[in-house]
Amino acid sequence: MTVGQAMRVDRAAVERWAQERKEPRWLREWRLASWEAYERLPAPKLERSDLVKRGFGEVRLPSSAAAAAGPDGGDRKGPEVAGGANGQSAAVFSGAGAPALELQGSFTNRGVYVADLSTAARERENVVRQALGSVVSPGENKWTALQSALWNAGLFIHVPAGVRVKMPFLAAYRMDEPEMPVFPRLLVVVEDGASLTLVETWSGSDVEGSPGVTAAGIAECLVGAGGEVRVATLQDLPGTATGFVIRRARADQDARVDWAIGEMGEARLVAEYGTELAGPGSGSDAKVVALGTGRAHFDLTLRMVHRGRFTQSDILARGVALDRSDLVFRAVTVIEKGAVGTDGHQAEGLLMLSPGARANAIPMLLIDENDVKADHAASVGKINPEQIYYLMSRGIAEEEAKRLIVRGFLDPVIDRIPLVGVKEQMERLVERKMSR
Amino acid sequence: MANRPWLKVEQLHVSVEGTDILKGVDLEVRGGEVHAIMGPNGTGKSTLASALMGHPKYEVTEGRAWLDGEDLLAMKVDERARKGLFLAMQYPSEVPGVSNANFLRLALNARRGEGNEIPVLQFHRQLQKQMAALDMDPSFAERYLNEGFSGGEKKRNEILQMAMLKPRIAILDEIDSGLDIDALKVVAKGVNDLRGPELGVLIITHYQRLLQYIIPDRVHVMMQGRIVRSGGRELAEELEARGYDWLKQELGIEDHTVASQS
Repeated sequence: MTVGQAMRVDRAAVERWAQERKEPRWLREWRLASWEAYERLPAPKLERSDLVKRGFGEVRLPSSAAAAAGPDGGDRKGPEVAGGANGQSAAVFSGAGAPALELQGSFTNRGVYVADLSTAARERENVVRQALGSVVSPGENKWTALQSALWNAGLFIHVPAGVRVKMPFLAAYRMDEPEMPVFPRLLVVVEDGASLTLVETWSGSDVEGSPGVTAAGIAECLVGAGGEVRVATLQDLPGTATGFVIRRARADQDARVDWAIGEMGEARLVAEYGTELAGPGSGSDAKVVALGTGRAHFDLTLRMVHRGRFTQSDILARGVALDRSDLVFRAVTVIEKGAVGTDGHQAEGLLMLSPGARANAIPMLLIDENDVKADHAASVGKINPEQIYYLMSRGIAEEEAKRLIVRGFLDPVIDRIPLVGVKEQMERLVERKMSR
Repeated sequence: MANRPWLKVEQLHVSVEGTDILKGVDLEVRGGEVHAIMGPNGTGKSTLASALMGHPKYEVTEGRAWLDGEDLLAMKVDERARKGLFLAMQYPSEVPGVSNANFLRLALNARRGEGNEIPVLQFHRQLQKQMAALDMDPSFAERYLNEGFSGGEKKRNEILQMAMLKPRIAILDEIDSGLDIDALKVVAKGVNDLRGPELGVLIITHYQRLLQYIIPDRVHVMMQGRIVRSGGRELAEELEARGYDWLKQELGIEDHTVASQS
């Protein structure tokens, strides 16, 4: 079989894939169990997203030749969206396969461990085996099962107790080979009192006449007591791409997880982000910026689950729909019985910039405890023609006026992103998308 | 620029959502002149201002207008502004997330043209100077454009923009409404400071009060969507003393609004 040749996925394919990666037996069995769950589970239903109609059963796996070539076989370009690893610690994935790792001091000493997930499953069996699938269970739905069976771009990061890593780590996924689906699987374990900053980028460009890449990612992040994790994600996939993503963290006592999420571009994407606030006193913020162009369809769910006492969460999401794009924001704040003293906020705003654009905000508060604070605000609107007129009356051209208004709309979120590099990248991306 | 600014309006007819508002306005304003358009509410004064600026809701159905001899009505809103037309609005929009200073710099650079952008330092010096002259707190530079501004602050901000952009023809639409006497004096001083052969001003107001501080050269009274009487500053004083009724009687007008006649 030559590189890129399509092959229908079945149980045997899953088994072969695990073998090729020299994965330990437990992991092979875990994949197979996931595959069985996939075959058993019904297709998930998502209101307002036709993505489910796409046959995930038609997913194509790389042949063994391609797998053997791996990431070193091809032309390894730096991820455009992240501006390359540029001397920072990074895992760069070119399509499926093991990443090219570049590790600087802070990720090679003090017991910090970074490796391709298949390798980590051998070298760090205990911790990987315990953590994998513990935040996002393979059996959660048909897609999580499929992803668990087939993930092919894995990464594991382990930060031992008390180790605080200041330098951000970049996980960059470059998805340019349409014949190969890319299934990123990220597992992060940050022990008690440790800290980590992670930047994850998904990027790709249209390849002429190609059917488009399929991407399905799961990121699980376990944060120990008093630990701190900041995750920034940037997605800029072309219109031919289809994606499905779950990124979820679980926070122990007094731990913090902060998200900065940027969804750009033209892809069809169903994504869920969130934190399980399991330990008392834990907290999580999510800042979300989405900008849909072309025929983009972003179905984004932000989910904060309050389980521990005195937990805090805050979702701030803004989206702009241009052209014929379609944005759906679901913000879900769940407060479980016993989570007394919870403080949960959410605010979503969506702006439609063209007559063909669509936007929906669906706020949800699911509260099962009395002694809590929770509020939400949601707005969906069109750009105000009076604002455009006003700016134009001062000599600013119409397109520039729109850009200003959009930037003004997104800035309150972008401004609050604590990672300077990510903030600047988002600003640049917004600027570029708006001035096409 | 050596040539004096020149705005000419000829038989302008304007309708809004199918209703005729202006029914033939003639007007000429040149650099160095201050014209005032007065008249009771509902006579079409603000419509004239918005139509000249090019608000999309205002449709010119007849007539012509020129700015410095160029066809004003053929230009888009931003082009009119870049050619030197300025409208201080009655209800300026709020634009959240866009700072006053950033907006002003973009506007100023658009007016100055590509390749002639103002150096940042020079811009900020100019801005601070103009803000001080208008008695504005320096924090206004970094506040979002008109967001949360009081009525008086918005009006001052309009005059600030005018001072920074240095238009050739400025239209001030009800710039006095909602201002207390102190704010009115500050705004009037701001306008007076800009007076000169390089600027023609058209003030729209229905109170004579403002005209005590900005002395007009010409006064026009608008009723039923037309200018029905023009005169010197003494006309404003006469209206101040006697109101509009005598004029209506003289002209045989019962209802001065545009709605009555179509």
